[in-house]
Amino acid sequence: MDSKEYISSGILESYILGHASPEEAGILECVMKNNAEVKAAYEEAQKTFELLATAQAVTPPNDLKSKIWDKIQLEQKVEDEKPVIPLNSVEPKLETQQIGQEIRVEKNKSWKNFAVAATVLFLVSIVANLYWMSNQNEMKNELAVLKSDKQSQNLAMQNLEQKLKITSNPNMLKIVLAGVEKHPESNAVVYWDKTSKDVYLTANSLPKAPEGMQYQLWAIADGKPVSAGMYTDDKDAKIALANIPNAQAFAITLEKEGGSEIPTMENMYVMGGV
Amino acid sequence: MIRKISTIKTNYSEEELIVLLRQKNEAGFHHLYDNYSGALYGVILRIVQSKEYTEEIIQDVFVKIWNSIHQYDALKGRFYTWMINIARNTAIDYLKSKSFQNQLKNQPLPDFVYENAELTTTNNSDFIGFNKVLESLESDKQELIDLAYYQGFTQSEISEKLNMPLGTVKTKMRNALLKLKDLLKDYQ
Repeated sequence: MDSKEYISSGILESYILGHASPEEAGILECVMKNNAEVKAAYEEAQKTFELLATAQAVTPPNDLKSKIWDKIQLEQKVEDEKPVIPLNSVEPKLETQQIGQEIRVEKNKSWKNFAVAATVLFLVSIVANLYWMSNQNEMKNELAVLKSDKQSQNLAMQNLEQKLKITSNPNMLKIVLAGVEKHPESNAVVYWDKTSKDVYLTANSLPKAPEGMQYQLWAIADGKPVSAGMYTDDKDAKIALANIPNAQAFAITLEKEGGSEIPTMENMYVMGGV
Repeated sequence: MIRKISTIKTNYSEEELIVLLRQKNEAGFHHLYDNYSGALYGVILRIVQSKEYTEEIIQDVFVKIWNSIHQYDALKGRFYTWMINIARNTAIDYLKSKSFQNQLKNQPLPDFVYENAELTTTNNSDFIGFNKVLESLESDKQELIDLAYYQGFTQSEISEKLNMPLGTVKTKMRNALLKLKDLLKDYQ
């Protein structure tokens, strides 16, 4: 079910009017957290019901406001007096109301209120349990996804750290290999450790090597190409391709998988002098 | 975002109002009453169809709002909607309560019939406007809103009552609301 179908199913109206089942409500609340479209439709639906109420507003009698405020203050007073006379918390309110018959009604009402409150609490706990149960699986799945996300992020981070270690090492000689005539867009960078003589290569801007082919790095020492190792994505700026004691230039050619004895010159992509 | 509350201010944002109510501030009560009493009164009047009971119920509703403002959760819905639902639920509960059913026996005619005439002295144009709004809805949509909104029928109860599949009730309710939204544009 996509968002639009879900919205047009009438669930929003049912939820706003308090008629959605706990399961339906739980699902909707979860969906709204993650889906802006459903959330927006929920806001809109609420506003419509609010507009309906505004449109049908009727001015209440003039004395109603002060009646309500008196009632609130009376309750407040009862609340405040509670700690002093905890056993008779209902009484002070009743004394002010005088009429005997009303006292019984008031008492009944307050017991009814307690019963209603208890029932509501009970229902709320059932609802909470149902919601919790129906969400547990979902939560587990989300947790698993989060965990694997975290793992892949950690890996990516480690990867970056290793690359940064190579590229920011001041002992590295950086040699930029520029695209040759046939491949002007290509480029690559060789990092050559001045002490250990290890050669690293970052070449992820080269086009992906076709099936069965691989990029091979060559060191040109005194005019003669010497293989400086095969390039794979996972080695990029991370794992040394070869140890080259002496070179005046580097070049990359596309070769059959596993590499060639001598470079196929027409398949050269990039080249650069030290 | 909560703007700074100055002491002489009489018009508050919804967020400010909630803060004031949580502090049990009297200015909060005035603002609450001045801005929402008409709408809540109207909702209750529509449900119980008697001014006398409406006056009784609305007092409970305001006391409930005042006392349970801490339970209001902005993440779950809008404040105005929350209050409307308190008014609806209190009024519908009142209708369903036994004492009211008994009182009703002594009062064969709902006095809503002549309520309209009385209302002309107060909020005449709004009230009539609302009636027109509902009238311009198709009768089945009108009935759905009446049953669900004013009489508190659940969708499955409506489905049973109208002998209509539950799925149809749900989508019809959605369509009714969309139509209503369109019709209520002018009140925004």
